Amino acid sequence: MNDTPGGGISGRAPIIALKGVNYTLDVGGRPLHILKNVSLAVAPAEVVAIVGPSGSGKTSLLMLLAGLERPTDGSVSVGGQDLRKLGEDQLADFRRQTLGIVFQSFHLIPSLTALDNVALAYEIAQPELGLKRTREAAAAALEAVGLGKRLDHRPAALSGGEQQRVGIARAMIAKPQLLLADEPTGNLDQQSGATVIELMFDLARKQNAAVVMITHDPSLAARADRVLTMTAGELVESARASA
Amino acid sequence: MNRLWSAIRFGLLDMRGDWRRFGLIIACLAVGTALIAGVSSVAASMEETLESNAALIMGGNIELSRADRAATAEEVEKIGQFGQIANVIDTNVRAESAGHDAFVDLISIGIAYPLLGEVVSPDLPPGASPFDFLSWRDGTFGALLDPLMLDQLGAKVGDIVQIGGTPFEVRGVLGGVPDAPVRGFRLGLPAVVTTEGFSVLSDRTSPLPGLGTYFRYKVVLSGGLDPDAGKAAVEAALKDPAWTVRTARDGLGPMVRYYDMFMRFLVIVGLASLLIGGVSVWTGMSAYISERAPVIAILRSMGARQARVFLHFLVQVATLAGIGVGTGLVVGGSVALVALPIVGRSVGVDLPPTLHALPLLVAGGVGLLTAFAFAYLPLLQAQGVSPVDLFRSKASASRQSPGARCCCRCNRCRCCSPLPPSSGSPS
Repeated sequence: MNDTPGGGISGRAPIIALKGVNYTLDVGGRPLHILKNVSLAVAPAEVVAIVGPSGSGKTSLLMLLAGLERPTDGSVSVGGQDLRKLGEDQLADFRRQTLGIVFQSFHLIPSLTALDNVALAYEIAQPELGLKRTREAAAAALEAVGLGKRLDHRPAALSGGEQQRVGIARAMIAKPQLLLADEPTGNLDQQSGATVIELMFDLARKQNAAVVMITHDPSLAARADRVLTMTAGELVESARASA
Repeated sequence: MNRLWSAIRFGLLDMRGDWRRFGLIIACLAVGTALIAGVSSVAASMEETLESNAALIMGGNIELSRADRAATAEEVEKIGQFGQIANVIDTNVRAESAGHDAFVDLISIGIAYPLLGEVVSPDLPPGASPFDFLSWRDGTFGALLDPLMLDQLGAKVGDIVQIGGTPFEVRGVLGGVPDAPVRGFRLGLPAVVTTEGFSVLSDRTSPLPGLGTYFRYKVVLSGGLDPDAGKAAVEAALKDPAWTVRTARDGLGPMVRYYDMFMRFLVIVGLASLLIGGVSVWTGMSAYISERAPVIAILRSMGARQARVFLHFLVQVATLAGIGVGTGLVVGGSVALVALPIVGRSVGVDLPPTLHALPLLVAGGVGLLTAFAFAYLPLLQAQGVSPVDLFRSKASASRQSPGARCCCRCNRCRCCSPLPPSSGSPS
């Protein structure tokens, strides 16, 4: 793809800038092209949905944005940082300072309560705050997602929707510039999914955070500022909903 | 400091619900530490007691002995210049009574015996001289006999038994002599008579060939003379190499070495136990960290540095090690307190129940070192887990097709991932 999806936002410094990104794996001596010449720019506070069939490279793109994988070639800049130049600990710092991630399978720590799951994320992001202030902030974050009365419940005692709300509180508590959401409603029923998405968009808007979300749900994708389609490793812009 | 306390708290919270699986690790560490702590404590008590009571245990500051003859009057006079003397003759003879016989370890005591400590016998009046108690009375000399020998001979206090072919009246049951620990391994059951009684034995033939008669002279040095200096002075005065002169420390040497070897053996058992505990820590922590890979991946996805992940699990290892080693120290120390008087009785030394800090510190240190040494590799393993697994885990079905990513990187692709597949829909 030669165009840069999001090229029209060039007036504002993009939070995400991918240029000519290729991501290829070597499988048994044969190259497997996961991403092909992907370019993307996302403005601060912009909500972008990525759709596409399974195996098309959506999750790989998300992992590149999170600094979890490195591109074969091309540049990946997120929050003004060239991720290719960062070492392991620098990438950890980048994730701590810039990113929030919401997973399809929630991935809460089962031994910790909802409060501690969120507090742990904040403790990692702001270790100098101290336990009391960390827990107060976590309680406030859970209050904001409507779980003020479920602070001491462990994940096993929460419904899927509630777990995902804890996941959102955890991802947003450190006020990241960018929220990556990997099929956030994939494990939820329609009603819970709608509630969770409403909450996630609302928090992102309040915190002025950009959102890149993978989804299979067309109605959910339609709520994004832009919808990009990934097909066989290539990214094309399929709709601009509200930009 | 806030940062550290928070990390410790979350590390501990993350252990909730997993305590049952840690039982074996804790038990192995506790057993190994307890063995080392207990054995080392007993050894330290024994060493301290032997060091501080060496003269008492040997019955004098120095001891002179020879096997061929008793000291001459001139020699006794020379020895007497250095302090008080008590003489003892050790030999083996046979005892008989009413058709029964026994193999006797005969201790013939002089008038001044014992210079230190006391002969133990329920029949010996308090403060009475054993020599006087066993001296000629009503036509015989007296003897104190070990209770087992009384059983063997079918005799009782007041009876007449033949010792070395000479009649002796059993005047009491022998509980022990104060210098028993340094007498070493002896054939036969002990009996005490006087040197005068020994002099009238009609048959001094040893029941077994090769067992000699030893004439011993125990000396409590006067004038605060140092035992080593006293030994040198006595040797110089006698000018006879046939005399073996030992200080109390020399006398205890073989005994200390014997128990030291025994204790070392037990310490090796403790170390072996800790080694097993260490392997248990290794395998247990490896399995635990493999299972905790999702938690590690979550921590990493939230931006935790490798050091933060290491700290998270180090806190857990430290907690397990603390509990295991702490339990081991309590158990080992308690066992030592109970065992000391029993061990003391068995070796003829008074070992009061006391705890020594150094052996406990060493045992604790070895236990902690073992735990951390064997946990180190699993902890490194924890640092290597990537958050990629959190994304991959949901893509179970689609990513498994034709081994697409299975061979790319160990532990980073779906097929190598330690994460269990979830029920999520494919990406």
